[in-house]
This record gives sequence, structure tokens and C-alpha cells, in this order.
Amino acid sequence: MVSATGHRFSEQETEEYYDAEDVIYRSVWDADGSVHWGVFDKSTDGASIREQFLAAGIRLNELMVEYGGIDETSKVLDVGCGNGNAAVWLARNSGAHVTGVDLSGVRVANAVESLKDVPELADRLAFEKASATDLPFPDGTFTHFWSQATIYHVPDKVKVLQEAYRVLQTGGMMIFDDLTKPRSDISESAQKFVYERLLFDTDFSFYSYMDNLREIGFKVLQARDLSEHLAQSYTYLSKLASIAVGPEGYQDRFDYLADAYMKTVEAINNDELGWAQFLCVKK
Amino acid sequence: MPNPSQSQSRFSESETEAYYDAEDALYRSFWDAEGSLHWGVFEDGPPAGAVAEIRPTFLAACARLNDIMLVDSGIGTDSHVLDLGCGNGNTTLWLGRTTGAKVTGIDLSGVRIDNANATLAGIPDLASRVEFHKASATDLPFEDGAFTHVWSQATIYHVPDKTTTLEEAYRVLQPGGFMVFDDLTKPKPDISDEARTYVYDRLLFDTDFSFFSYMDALREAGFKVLDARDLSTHLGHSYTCLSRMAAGGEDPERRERFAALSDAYLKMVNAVHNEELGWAQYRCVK
Repeated sequence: MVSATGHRFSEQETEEYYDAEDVIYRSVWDADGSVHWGVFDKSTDGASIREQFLAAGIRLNELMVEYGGIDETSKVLDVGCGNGNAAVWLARNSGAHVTGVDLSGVRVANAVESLKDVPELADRLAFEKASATDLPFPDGTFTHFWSQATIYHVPDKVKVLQEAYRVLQTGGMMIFDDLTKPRSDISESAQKFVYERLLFDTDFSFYSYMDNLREIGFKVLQARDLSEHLAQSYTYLSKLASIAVGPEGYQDRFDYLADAYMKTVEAINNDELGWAQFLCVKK
Repeated sequence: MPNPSQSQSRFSESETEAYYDAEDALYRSFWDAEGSLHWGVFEDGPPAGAVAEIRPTFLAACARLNDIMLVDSGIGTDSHVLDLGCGNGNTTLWLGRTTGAKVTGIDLSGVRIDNANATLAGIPDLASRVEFHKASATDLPFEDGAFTHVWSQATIYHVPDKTTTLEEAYRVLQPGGFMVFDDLTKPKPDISDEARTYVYDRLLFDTDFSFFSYMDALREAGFKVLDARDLSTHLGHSYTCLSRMAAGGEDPERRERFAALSDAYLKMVNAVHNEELGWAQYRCVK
């Protein structure tokens, strides 16, 4: 599936994937349309799997706000905003101005539509369709670059980091999470059920990611290897997929996902897939 | 102020031992009356105002460091924690009390271990779970795999042979055990004379580790790094506080020492600002 541009997957393929798959994911992950992983702790022990999973997703948001020092004085760019859930949450809970961009027109349209439900946020929340490699904003526009579960999709990751650096003010913070590849030898199972299923590939390990951030000019302030939380997320998602109820004809997809998610857990346990979160500052 | 060693860059364990044996009363008088000697993680910037207002903010920031290190450590009632460089034992006892874990503190300074044991004697309910020993971090008197956690604060920078310290920590941990610690770092190799005198020589230390090369050393020792935090900004804030707290010391016999320390602490703030000194915190797993 190597594209004509030499990357394994193209931005166009990613766009089509996310335009098409929304209903499936809402049935399994989150009825409200959020699609990111979570950071688990003991505070929700005893709650249902779905409650624990959604609470872990909110905890990731909260940690990113805390680490990034985001408040009502901040101007945040959310890259890969999807249906806009995190952007809405962020505007509501931090008081910041938030601009969300996504490559999928369907998801940006969903996000814009959801603005009707939150008129109180209308003056500090906006969405538009854009590529992370070509951001339609002048240099130094934002105090924070925020991104969740997005950059791994982009074939030219270095370009994304350069664009993040460009649109940040001096002293601005980049707070994001991304998938990593802890080792380079990947089994057929992980290749099929993780890398090809999610249309991605990456050269970045937890450590080499930091080298790339530094090369672009960022100072890395914090790095967290969250792989164990990714494994926990996919263990729960597998269970949620196995009990999902959706439109007619979707059952095969749910069964496939339940299986693929457990294969993803195996890949994480074999160090074939990782999840990292970084906080860096533009010096 | 203690004399720097001949080499101007390396200091022996016996010098560190003598330093910490001697200086306890001085530091208690302004840093923390209970004898804790840590830096803190601040919610906002460094506090302004009188010493009376700064001290509680500083001590709250120090408590926050403990909380941050504890929250993801997984230390609980089933844990056996080694506190490396426990000093007067404040954090060791706090860990024992807060987590219910078994905690063993070691320090190179016999004076501080005696202080720790004296404090422990007043807390009988911890007697069965907390113990203190005088020992070197480079030659731990424990068997392989003796601990579930190694915990260390503001210690390893003092040890001349840091690699052996990391190897010893790895050795005494069980497979799957965690090492949670903070340490000073050297962000760049070229250090000004001022930082050399007021930071490295004053604290009797040197290090080859930057925030990033520390992770390489940890990986080489066999660890997997899970969390890395560059806390340098907070070290600067800490020394801004400490400079003002030292300047506010009231003991007339120590006025000159306080003034000299207050001045040296401002030099620490400068060194942090110039990236000649850094502070990092890591969590890793064996």
C-alpha cells in the first residue's frame, strides 16, 4: 500500500478513512464521537468498562491542560480535532480560545454542527478543514499546539512538527500524544492489525521522537511512555467492540475490531507499538 | 564553605560524607526545621513577599514533588522501597506513613542516619516497617532483587560514580520494579567560572548527564524509561525562595554564612537560567 509519493500511506487515504468510519467508532468508543485513548488510574475502579474508558480519556485531557499550563489567556490550536469533542471540552474547561483543524471534512462538519449546542463557546471556538503539514495560520499565532492521536497518521511527521513550531509564539507550548514504534522489526500480525489497519507507519520511537523535536528547535520538558495505558485502552475497547450494537450489517465489523484490538494489545506487549506524550516549549 | 577537591571537578564520597555530617544545623535553621533538604515543584512562579510568606509556599512545593513522584510509582502496602540518600529520613518516614510500604533508608552520612534513627525511635508504629542504614549508593548492602522500588531525591549528583549507582539500583530491584528519582543535570558541557565556583564546587559535584543523556545511561543500565520531566524551571524557583529564606536567617552568629548562602543561591538561579544547571525527574522500570 505504498503511495505514489513514496510514503506508505497518503493523506488522501487518511482523509477517506476518517470520512467513512465515524458511525462504527461512535458505536464502540464513545457515542459522542471522541476517538482517543485514555490514562487509567484507580479512581474509577468498580465502574463499568465504558465508564472507566471514558473517564480515562477525560483524564488524558486534564493531564494535558495541567502540563501545558492552559488557561483563559491561552490560544490553542487542536490539530486532528476530529469531531471536535476535545476542543469543546478544552474551551469549556480551561476557558481558552481553541481552533480545531482536521483533514476529514466529514468530521470538521460534525464539529461545526456541534457548535450549535454550545452557543456560550461560540466566540472562542472555531473549526476548519486543513492539513497538519500546511496550516493556514501566520507564524506565532498560538500559545499552545495541542494534538491527540493524530500525528502518526501524517506521512511527513517532521513537517508537522515544523509547522507546529512555526505557528507557536516564542515560549509557546506543544503538548501532544502520538503512537511510536519501539522496535523496527514488526511481526506480520502487528503489520496487518496495527500498522495497515490504522494506515500508518512511523520511524519514531519514544526516544528518537525527542531527538526530532529537539532538531526542530523545541526544548523537551516532559516525556511520558504511556504504552501500558494504550494496552489497557485497547483491552477495554476490545470488550466494548464485542458488545457493540450498531446498524444492520455492522456485526462483522465489530467482531473484526474486537479481534484487531486484542492483536493491538499483543503488539504493545511485544514492543511493536507504543504510545508517548510529550510537552515541549518553543525557545 | 567546603574546599573543592584538587581536580576541580570530581569529589570523593568521603568529602560528601564530611559535608553532610557537618552542615545539618545550619540548613535546618532556614531550609526546613525538620531537616528535609529538597527542591520543590511550584504551581505558579516563585512566590514574592516576605520570608514568612515564601516559606510555606516553598515547603508546599517540596511536598508537591513527593506527591508527583508517588502518584505514578505504584508504591503500596505490598511494596518494599529503598530510599537512596535518605538524609534525616523525613521522606522515608513520610513514605512509610503515607503508603503503608516497608521502607529502608540509606545515606552516606552517619550523622544524618543517627538523626533518622532518633526520629524513628519516637514513632513506634513505624518501627516494624522502616529502617535506616549507613551505606554507599555504589555498594548497597542488599541482595539482588531485594526491593520493589528504588526512590531517590537530590542524591545521585553527589556520587562520583553515577553509572555504578544506576547499576546497583538495577541490581537490588526485582524484575518489573520501579526506580523513581530526581537528580541535577548539566544541560551543556561548557560551564562558566562563576557556575563552577558557586554551583559545582559548592555542592561538591559534577555530572556528565544532561536531561537526555541521563536517559541513555538509564537504558544502558537496563532500565526502560517511562517518565522524564525537565524540572529546571522549578529548581530556579526553589533557589529564588531559598535565597530569600537564607537572607532572612536570624541567628546573629551565622549572619555571614547566611549572607554567603543567599548570594550563592542567586548564583544557582543564574546558572539554571543560563542552562549551566538543570534538574530532572525520571520513572523507569527494570
